Amino acid sequence: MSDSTEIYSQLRTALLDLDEATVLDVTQKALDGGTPPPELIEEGLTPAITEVGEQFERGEFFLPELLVSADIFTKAIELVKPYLTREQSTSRGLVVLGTVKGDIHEIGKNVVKLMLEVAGFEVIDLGIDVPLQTFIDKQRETQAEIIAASALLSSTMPLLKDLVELARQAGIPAAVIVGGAPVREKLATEYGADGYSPDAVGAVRLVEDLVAKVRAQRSA
Amino acid sequence: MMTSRERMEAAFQCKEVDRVPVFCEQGGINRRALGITYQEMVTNGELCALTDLAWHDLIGDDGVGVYFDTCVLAEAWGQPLIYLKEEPPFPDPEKYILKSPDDYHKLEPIDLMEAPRFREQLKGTEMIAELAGDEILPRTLSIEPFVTLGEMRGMQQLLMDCVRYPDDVRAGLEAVTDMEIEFCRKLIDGGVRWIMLCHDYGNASLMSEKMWLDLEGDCLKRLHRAIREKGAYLLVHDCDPNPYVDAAFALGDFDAYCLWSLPKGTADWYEFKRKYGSVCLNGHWEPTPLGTQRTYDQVVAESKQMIDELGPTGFILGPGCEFPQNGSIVNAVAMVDASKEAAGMKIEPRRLSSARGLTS
Repeated sequence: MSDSTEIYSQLRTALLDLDEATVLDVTQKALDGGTPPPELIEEGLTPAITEVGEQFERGEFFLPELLVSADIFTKAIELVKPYLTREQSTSRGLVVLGTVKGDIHEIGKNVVKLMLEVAGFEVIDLGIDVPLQTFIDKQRETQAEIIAASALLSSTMPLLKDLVELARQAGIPAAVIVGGAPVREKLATEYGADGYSPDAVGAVRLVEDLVAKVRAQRSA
Repeated sequence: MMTSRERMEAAFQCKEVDRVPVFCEQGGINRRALGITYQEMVTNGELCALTDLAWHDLIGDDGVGVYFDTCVLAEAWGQPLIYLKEEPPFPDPEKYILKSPDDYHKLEPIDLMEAPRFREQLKGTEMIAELAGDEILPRTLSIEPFVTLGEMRGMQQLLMDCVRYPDDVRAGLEAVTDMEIEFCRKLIDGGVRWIMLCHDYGNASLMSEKMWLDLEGDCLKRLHRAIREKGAYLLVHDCDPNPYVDAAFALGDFDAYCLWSLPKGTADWYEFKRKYGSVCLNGHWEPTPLGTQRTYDQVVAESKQMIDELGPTGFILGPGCEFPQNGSIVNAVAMVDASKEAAGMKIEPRRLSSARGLTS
């Protein structure tokens, strides 16, 4: 077994054990030992956090474990960042995220944000109770590929439809995705959204697909 | 014909009823009956009582009560809240009072009578108990200790603490449970006769069954026991798509169980009734479709199906969580009409009562 293979195995085991000290220690030692930083992320940390996500999807990990592992992963990435060149730091895509006006529920949005960030996306978190126009303005300002909005209440859910319509009227070159406890795929389709996911792991896959599509459309 | 009180008590005891009782749990739509803001309703016990009586008269269901929001206890401990006109108050996310795991150990007992909004809730409870008289069984809603702790620490941080600092979290849960028991006892003294207790963390969306029982199981047993020993009926509520029903039943000491989603491993509602019908069941409408996506006729038809599945004894028809604020009131009425139709009763025109003081 090569040194790097051993390092990545240790990272995987430590992250699945939620062992923060070991993850950070192994990461730092790998950097000190000359492991290329992009490789450390792509072949060490990312597969480990991906496995966490898969365990979450299978019901073997739950929200507390997911949050802690994402927190550990983020700290490890912070250790690696100073070693990356500007080109190596390029994000996989930009997402404008928020909970719509009148809705103050944020735990679901925060989990989606964490999972997108650990997957390498840059997320601009507008927070909760966000006016619809703010989503549009922020996309225009940043040229984000994705607008992601959530609503937990039956009373705020229709605003997701309004947001989709506002984005269409504004003609912005971005995909709009929606989520939240009462939202279902059928409803998201009726609202005209470009995508819907019932959970944070699915949201990452959705964003991966849609970023590629938006970039292809923009370059066409 | 039974009164609402008799009907609800019979349902809780799984005895025969003249028709299946309907309880339309709601979180704010009732204030539309009096045209007041959320903030007005949750800071004034009398207004809250009158609002709920007006809502009850409007739709004709079998439950009334004074319930403000989940944050009354957290606020009593000093947690700053943000009040809105159209939504319930919530903890200021910039000002959580439990700033570190050590702070879980610093939660000292509080005098609830020093807390303005608890005093208002108690005042409203006493008023609704008097106005409801022998006709209706007054209720309130209480929450599991995890919820209050999360309101003072931040839910995300609390969930991470459950992994990293479980003993500290346990200490916080014990302290909150003591006050939650006091909260319920005082409201029962004020006239509450049944309590809906939300098991919001007892489901797969938030944590494993093992973690939930390990951290909070003993606290919930204490809370369940205290409510029932004080003489109130206890309805346990879990509105998640994946509730830990078996675990909830293992905690014991309750009279009814409320949900809208079948637990894993249960094929249909008939099987659910066979497995869990030793207590009264309440539900199983999913709130959003009930309030915003169905027609009156659809609600009547599906409600009758639910009565067939889970009734007629030991069943309370209703949403498995709060009826939406923007829901159709006609759809709430449809549940009551369905109950009457299923029992072969005539559907009377609705009445608005001024006898209870609505116009005073």
